[in-house]
Amino acid sequence: MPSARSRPTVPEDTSTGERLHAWYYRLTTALLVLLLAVVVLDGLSVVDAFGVDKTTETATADGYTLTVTAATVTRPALATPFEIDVRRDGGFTTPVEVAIETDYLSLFDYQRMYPEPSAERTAGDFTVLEFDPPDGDELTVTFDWRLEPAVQSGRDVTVAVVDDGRHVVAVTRHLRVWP
Amino acid sequence: MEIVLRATVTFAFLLLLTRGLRRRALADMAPFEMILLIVVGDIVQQGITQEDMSLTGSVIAVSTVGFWVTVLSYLTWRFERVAEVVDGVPVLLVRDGEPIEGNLAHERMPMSELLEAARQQGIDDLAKVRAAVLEPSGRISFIQ
Repeated sequence: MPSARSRPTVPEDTSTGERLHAWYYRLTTALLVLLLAVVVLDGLSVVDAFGVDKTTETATADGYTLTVTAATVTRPALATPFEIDVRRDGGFTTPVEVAIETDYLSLFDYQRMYPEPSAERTAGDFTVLEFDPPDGDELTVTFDWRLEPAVQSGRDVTVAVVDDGRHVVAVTRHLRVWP
Repeated sequence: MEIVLRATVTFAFLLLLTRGLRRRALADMAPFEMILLIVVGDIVQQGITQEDMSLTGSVIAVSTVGFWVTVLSYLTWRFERVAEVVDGVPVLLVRDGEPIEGNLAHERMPMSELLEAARQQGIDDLAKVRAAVLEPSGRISFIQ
């Protein structure tokens, strides 16, 4: 029987592999630490990174003050804050109409609104929600919804108060979505 | 941030749980022990990511576990005392051919399992064994 070919099991020189391994190990550790540091800072509201984070913007015109509190960053299937506040000095004598871009509404799995609108209609790219006149000077509408699981990217949204068929005051917000 | 906290708590709990299991459970699983392995993964996932279906949430959860594994591996390398606590210490099961009943009871190891391990090492009589050591990994080393 011919003798088998020698096959040493111990590599003669492992320095290259050892250097690559050490470099890869350090890189992986650094990336883990960096990622978790960003997450912790996000949780402490030092940075606005992975969500869910929200901010508030206000605009005033024609006696109306529109304040929109909306998420700036969110992720699929998570409850996402969205609140509209309309204030008018002297109160409201007619139903309050709020217009929201329909494409933005379609991003969410809607549960309900507080209060529910008394009527809805579409007007171009917008869905107009009509609310009964509130007691006092202020109407606050809170949305209970979650981002649809299939949504992988965000978009802008314009929210406006509608009076006599025209947008009298508007706020534009941007939503960023992490996949 | 919640995912990091939940993943950290779950990691600590699983670490305590696996340390509390019989060591042999980690090496050679009995069917009832395998059930734990199968169900733990699915149950733990719900507690960590909950309703979060995003890729980002999964990456954060896995990265948190990877981070703590890295931290523990460094600490166990750097500090022997930490290694003893986290990994455990070797336990003598047989000395000069005589099984140490107290240690076998402490590790909840039946004699049949010890004899099986000896047979797997080609040992036909425990009397020939100078020492048998249950390693932290759950394997049994026989010294003749």
